[in-house]
Amino acid sequence: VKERRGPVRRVTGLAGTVSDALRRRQQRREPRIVLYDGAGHARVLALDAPGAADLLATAGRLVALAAEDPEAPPGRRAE
Amino acid sequence: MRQAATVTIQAIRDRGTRLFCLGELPEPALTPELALSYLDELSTDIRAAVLLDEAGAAVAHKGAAPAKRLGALALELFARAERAAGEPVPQLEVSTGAAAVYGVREGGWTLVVVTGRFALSSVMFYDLRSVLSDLGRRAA
Repeated sequence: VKERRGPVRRVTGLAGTVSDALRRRQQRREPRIVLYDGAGHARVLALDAPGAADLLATAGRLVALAAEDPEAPPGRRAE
Repeated sequence: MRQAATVTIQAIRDRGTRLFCLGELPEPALTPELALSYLDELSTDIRAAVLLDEAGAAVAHKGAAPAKRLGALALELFARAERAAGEPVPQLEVSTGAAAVYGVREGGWTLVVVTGRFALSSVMFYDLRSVLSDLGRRAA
């Protein structure tokens, strides 16, 4: 039996979908560090854990380096 | 009474040619450069990649960034990850929010790639491991 949804439930359902999408988008924008051990087990390193800031800084430098275009004139680096 | 050869394989045997190769077949020539080209074809999300050998030297790279600088940062990334974890880290993923960095160490090789933030980690690690597995037959 198909559940009949009233207008209020339809609106709240839509709002939930939009907020879920926004939350997922926000999560993707947040920094995240996942380290794996020799057995392949993942461990999420908290951003305030010792060494996490250094790790993020190095990754940021790698990302910046990958975005550099050596042929671009100074001051107009590609993203 | 000698039978006349009726098919090619019998003619080959009659000439005394061995039908089987007794020696070892040569390994497929997957060079580090080819490996990164292959990886580049697998994923359109990769912005830069660097492959380091056992000594930590950059043997191949993709992208406009200089290989030496990429290689140095890749080594620094793993060193910092191991310091933070307190144990060897053969695989890591660091997302900065704007982009992501994936790294895998296997068989003496170290492979680090920079991708856009929408790259899927499971697919990326599968691709990195496939390439390193193929390269693993060569000495790093």
